[in-house]
Amino acid sequence: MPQPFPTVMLVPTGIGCAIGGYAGDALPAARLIAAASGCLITHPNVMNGASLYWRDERIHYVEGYGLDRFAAGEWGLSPVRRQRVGLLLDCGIEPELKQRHRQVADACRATLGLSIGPVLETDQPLEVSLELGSSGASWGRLGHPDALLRAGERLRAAGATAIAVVARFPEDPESDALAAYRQGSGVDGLAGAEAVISHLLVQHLRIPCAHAPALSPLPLDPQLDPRAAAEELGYSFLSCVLVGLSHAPDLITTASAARVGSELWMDQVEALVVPEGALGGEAVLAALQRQTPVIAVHNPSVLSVSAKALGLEGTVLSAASYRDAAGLILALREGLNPAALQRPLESLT
Amino acid sequence: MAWPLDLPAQRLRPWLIERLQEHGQPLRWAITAVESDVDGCKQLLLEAVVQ
Repeated sequence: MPQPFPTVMLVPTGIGCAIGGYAGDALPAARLIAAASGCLITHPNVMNGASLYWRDERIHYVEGYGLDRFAAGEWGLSPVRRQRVGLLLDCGIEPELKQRHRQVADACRATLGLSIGPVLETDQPLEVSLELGSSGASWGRLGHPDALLRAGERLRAAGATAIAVVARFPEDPESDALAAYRQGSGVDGLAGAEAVISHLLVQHLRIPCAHAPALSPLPLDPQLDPRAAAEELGYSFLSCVLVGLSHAPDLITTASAARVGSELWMDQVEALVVPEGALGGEAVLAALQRQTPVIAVHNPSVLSVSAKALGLEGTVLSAASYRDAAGLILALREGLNPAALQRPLESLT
Repeated sequence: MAWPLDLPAQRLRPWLIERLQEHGQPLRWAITAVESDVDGCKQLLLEAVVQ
């Protein structure tokens, strides 16, 4: 097999992607791209399926803010054998729900052998609120971001090398938006606020962090879409976060002298895979700036920032599906010109 | 914001970050739409969290 072909795969959070807009439902596509490339860098929204997760040594789990810095060439990734994952709980979570999350952490220690701890609570409720942008993408804000950062600092000082954060999220079980999401036709209304929480922590601490929302269990929905089903298996969405962080690479800001070992930097990345309407994100624009090949996959969402809209037709490679994208990556990895696989094949002039 | 005609998409990122920094330190942002005026000029719509 040829050398690995480091590839970044993005499915932006909270934009309602048909694949990856729900409960870790881009994970099969990520596994395929990892198999085709031999080295995949992707983010929690792709990998997190609430109680479900998949571990693959070829996949590097990097939170979105860190991934933006990586794509810009500012930070590198240094794979580690394990992380010690500190658990940061919003003190605004009700006692019983908090206990459920502590038990998930204990289960991951006992059953999976992960290194988890310490567990700390914020000194003020985080007071998460949810918003929708004019595009239809979900966003959110925190009432007390300083409390989040203080708790993160205490965890890092106590020996955590990565942080799983659980915040109490507002809920409205009767809302039309939640019903649409559960039935496979809406945007994940929580995702934007989740990204803000993890971005804040990673920006401040420069260690791997990811978020799981604390919510009360929902009543049974007989029309539940399979893509949202992973979020209805238990009392928390935390186990996938703990597994992902337990082997997330360190975020490094300075390259070692000879780039020893398996350190990864953006100049080693051979391709970036992204939904065709989501080319306006920072990591994609950074890849374009660095002339890293971008593969735009048909994966409808609420956004239409396409190659045509950005004047990039002919620059960006198009893929009709993730199967098609995997084929393109495999061709590039083998040194094949993808144009040779299509007809008509024009004569040289 | 108006997209300068002489600025290709490959050079948008640093230009947009400069514009965002007028409002604070960007934490999370994206171009969420590209619209064309009647005269053919393009407008970029952004959604962003700045600190």
